[in-house]
Amino acid sequence: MKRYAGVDSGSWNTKAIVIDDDARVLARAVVRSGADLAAAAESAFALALEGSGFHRADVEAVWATGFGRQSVAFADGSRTELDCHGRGAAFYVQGPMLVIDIGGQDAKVIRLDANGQRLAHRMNRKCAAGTGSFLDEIALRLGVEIDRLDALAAQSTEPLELSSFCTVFAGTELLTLIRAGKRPADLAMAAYRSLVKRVVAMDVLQGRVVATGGVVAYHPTMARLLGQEMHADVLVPPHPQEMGAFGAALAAREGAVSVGPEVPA
Amino acid sequence: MTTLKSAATLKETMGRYYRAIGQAAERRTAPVAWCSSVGPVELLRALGFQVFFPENHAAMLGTARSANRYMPLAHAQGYSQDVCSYLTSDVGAYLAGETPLSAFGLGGIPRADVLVFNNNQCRDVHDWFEWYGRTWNVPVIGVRSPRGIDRVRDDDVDGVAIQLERLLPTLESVAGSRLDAGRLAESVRVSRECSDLWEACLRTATHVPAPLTFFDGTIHMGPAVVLRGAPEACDYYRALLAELEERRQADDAAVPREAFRLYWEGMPVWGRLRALSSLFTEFRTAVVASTYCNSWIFSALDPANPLRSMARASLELFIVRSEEAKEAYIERMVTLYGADGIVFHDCRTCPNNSNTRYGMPRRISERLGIPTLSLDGDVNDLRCFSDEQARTNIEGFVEQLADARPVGARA
Amino acid sequence: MLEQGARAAAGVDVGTECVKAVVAGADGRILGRAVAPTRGYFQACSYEVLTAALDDAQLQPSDLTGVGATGFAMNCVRDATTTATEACCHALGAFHHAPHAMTLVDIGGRDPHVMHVDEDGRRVDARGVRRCAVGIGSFLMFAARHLDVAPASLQELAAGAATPASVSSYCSVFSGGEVLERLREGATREEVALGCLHSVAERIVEIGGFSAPIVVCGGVVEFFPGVLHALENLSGVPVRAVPDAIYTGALGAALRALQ
Repeated sequence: MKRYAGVDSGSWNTKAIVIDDDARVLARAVVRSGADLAAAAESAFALALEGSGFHRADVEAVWATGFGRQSVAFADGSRTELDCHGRGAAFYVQGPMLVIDIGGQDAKVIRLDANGQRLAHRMNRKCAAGTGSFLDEIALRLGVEIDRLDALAAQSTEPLELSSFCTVFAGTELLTLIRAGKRPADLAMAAYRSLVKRVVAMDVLQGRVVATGGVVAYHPTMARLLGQEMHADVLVPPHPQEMGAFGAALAAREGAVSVGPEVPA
Repeated sequence: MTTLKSAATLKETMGRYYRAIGQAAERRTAPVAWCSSVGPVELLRALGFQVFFPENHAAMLGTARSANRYMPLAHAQGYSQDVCSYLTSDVGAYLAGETPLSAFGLGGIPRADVLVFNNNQCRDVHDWFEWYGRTWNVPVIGVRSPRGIDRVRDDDVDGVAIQLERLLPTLESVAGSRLDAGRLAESVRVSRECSDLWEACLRTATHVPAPLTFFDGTIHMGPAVVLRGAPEACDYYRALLAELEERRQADDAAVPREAFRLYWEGMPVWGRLRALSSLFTEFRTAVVASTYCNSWIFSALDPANPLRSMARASLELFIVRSEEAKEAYIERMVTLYGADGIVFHDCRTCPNNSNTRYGMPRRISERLGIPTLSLDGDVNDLRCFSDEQARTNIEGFVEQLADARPVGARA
Repeated sequence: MLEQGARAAAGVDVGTECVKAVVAGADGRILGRAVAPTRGYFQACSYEVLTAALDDAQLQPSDLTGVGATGFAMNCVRDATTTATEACCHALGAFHHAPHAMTLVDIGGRDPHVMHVDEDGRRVDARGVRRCAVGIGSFLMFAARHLDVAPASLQELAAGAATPASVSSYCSVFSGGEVLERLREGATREEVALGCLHSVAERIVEIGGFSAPIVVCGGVVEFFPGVLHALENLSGVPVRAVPDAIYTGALGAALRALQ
């Protein structure tokens, strides 16, 4: 029985996962990336190993993905997060599908065919950030912990609109609404809606939609709102935050070829 | 970037050009005209003007990565951040009193005696020239072109030809000489020859593997831009073509172990030529053709009919055409060069060269069955280009191409 | 306690990052001050900060001739007797410290401004930063989080660098992305911190209109003096900050209330 691992070095959080030969998840870990991506990758991997009960030597191969994938010195290979989120989602869900990955700093829409092959992708334009970073700012302004935001939004009664195209303008808009005395619960919900609107503008969302990434993991309302927007259920597969790492582990298992300087298969 | 032997000759050719025009301007030994990149240079050469192309100067600022230092000065004058960053970096450099041409001994950019534009490419060249016209108190004249053309019609050609004729009184007055028909015909003949040679150079990249890439093309197109209509450009491209033919016959690849071929639609990112070239090479991907480099091909030019053929050539260009005509062109090129995919550059300050904005990538992708990638960036304003997003997008795109390929094919 | 016949007024500047309040005497001397982060409702924040400033001055609300309010949420100051724009109050507050014609640069949490003040303390013009580059405070907070320091320690971190990492000034979102990219590329936290301060300075220099003498007010230079140095380097013109820079707007509001 062989084991494989994946590390997703994100701009906000580093995720690691250990799987067995049948792609069953043995353990997973999330640590803050902070300023030292290499160290965070080591930490996350060590934590996941600990959770799995295995040692590094027991792992056949570990692959990296994410913003800091080049910083994961111990990785045997790497694939972009575009590949890994798609690969991971396709393991759980039958295609064709759209995979929407909303992370800390960017959002992606990945289009897969019936065989789980990637057809196209769109990453959010530099300008129109629809990401976890925005929710972080909202939480800060409202004076709530980020993991309380979803529960707060559940108490919303008045539909409010944050119409701005861009995080920078939306920040000012939010302040204007606070100033006007709007309720925090309604503001939280408005923030979610605003995020969903920006994601929806990235691509034509039809057919099966799968949501991954840290934001849907911590903010279940997001998946629900996306579904409402599309008049269909949005599927949230297991461990959405670690989906990229899972995809990287799958890539390690499949011995997928790394694009770039030749890596022994 | 590919190491071409001709690079040394290129440097000499361009150096001679800059020094010549610099001296002409400083010593007043010849009249100096500024011309937009696809403007009526043949007319200007025939009248004995030394011709300066500010877009070439702006591209130098972009390549040197000094544009971001100069743009704020133009912004302070009231030019928006969203407007042509060629314009703002060049005007800014002028206000700063600096130019990369100082490396060729010039004290400043060559002062124009007349500024001649054709707005077939965009309105910005006109606004840009007006700034200098006001600053130096010299005439700004040009052609106001039809745009969005499907098929080039005779009445469109008539209209532009008449406008070209109307330039003559001012041009002759500034030049101090009358236009000689023979000289104009010769100028057009030489320009056509340059165009044909440049086209042949670019076509060598239809070979698998390609001997040169888009990134090489952006450098080697220099003479086609600034020395069009002058024999030096033809001399250069004869030499370059010979070298490229040699490489082609020897299967000398620009990208070692070329695995994927792409078409680049849109402007270059001048400050990231080397970085992008290396990135694509790392991924064994050759960007084999582009709209941009092919824009200096003027097959309509005919010395037997100089003004009309110049008018026709100015209207046939990709940038002047309708969506349908553009799509048909890209499809032809993608097929000719055997491209696996298309990269569209959405250049923030150059809407006329950004064909991402009205749904074209998706239409082309569906029709041709090949994937496209859109990259955000700018010609000169590096703040609009994210190295990070570009890398992830490109890497992801190549992964996708690799995955789509049947196992064992062209490994 | 106030002397017989002496007048005092309060000024509250409700900004997007912090609420500032001062109690000032008729001569413009600050008798008490308080500042707190703006969180949740502006009304509650401004009331708390005003109360704290009164405590600091050891005065009662009844000692006040008036309460001037300014800032993004000036209308949330319940007890305000007068309101005035930020530009007006910053000019008043700065002119109190620097009674001469000047270019006044206000660098607050959201939206820096460059204004010209004449020899009578009147505002001649005022220009804001480009819309994409707003959010100075939130940008610096974002940077602090990714550099693993408290926002108040960002300046100290920056002081440890000789050269700034390149962080652009075009757009707050882009700049945030670049903070992460520079770290990933191996820039030290110190260099990135300094780069962030430079990014802020660049956005302000881009506004244009810098002519000596240049006076700076607002909270950013109080917490991040590195921005002041960067402004000087970039503009090539000497720059000085007013004392109690963060309270300039509040002081101006108090002076208005005294008029």
